[in-house]
Amino acid sequence: MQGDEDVLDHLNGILKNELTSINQTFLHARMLNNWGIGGLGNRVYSRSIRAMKDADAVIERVLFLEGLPSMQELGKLWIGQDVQEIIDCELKLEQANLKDLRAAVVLCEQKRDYISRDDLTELIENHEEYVDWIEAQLYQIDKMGMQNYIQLMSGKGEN
Amino acid sequence: MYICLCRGISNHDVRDAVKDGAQTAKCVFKSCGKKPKCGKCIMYLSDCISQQSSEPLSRDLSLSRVTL
Ligand code: FES
Repeated sequence: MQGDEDVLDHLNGILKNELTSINQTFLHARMLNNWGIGGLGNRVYSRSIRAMKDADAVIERVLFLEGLPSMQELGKLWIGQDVQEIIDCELKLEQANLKDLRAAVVLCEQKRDYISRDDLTELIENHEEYVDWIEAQLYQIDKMGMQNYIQLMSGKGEN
Repeated sequence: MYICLCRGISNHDVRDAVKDGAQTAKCVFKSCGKKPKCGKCIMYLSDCISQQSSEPLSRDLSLSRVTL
């Protein structure tokens, strides 16, 4: 089924964000495991896998709408050098992605592509969940201090 | 935070380079003894340089001001 040109552009933009997110989050997860902070690494790793599934959903939708998924583009990765920076970088990327997702949902609604809108709404839900988790980590760091937080999260990575 | 991933140049390296007088991305690479590879970081390096030159470094500030 032929999709709307603007919708396809936005879907490809979201795909680029998801591919960026997969890479950034995966590297952060592996860095955390390497530092022995596996508790945190595991959670970040599962976000990376989630982003992969989200990208998959967007790819399928683009193909269904007879577009070409643009797998080649990747945004700038923000890679932290310590736990605080990693959390800050993750939050910044997620906030930017959420902004793009919301704009894409509005466009799909205008173009009456309700299925793409629903797919993207599901992605928003996943991203919001992760942002909520990040904010909870920031709260804990604030309350218990970075050293205690790292101790709490330390351990071997499971994945 | 890494600004240039190909060469591992962080915002702290940029701060040091700016202190040593670097004013362009090219100068930052030179001062780190490295050469650019993919070039994706150039505009972010320039942003980072102007932030560093205009005000003292604070990690949160430097991160929040870099446009994603
Ligand atoms: S990210 Fe700096 S040269 Fe590639």
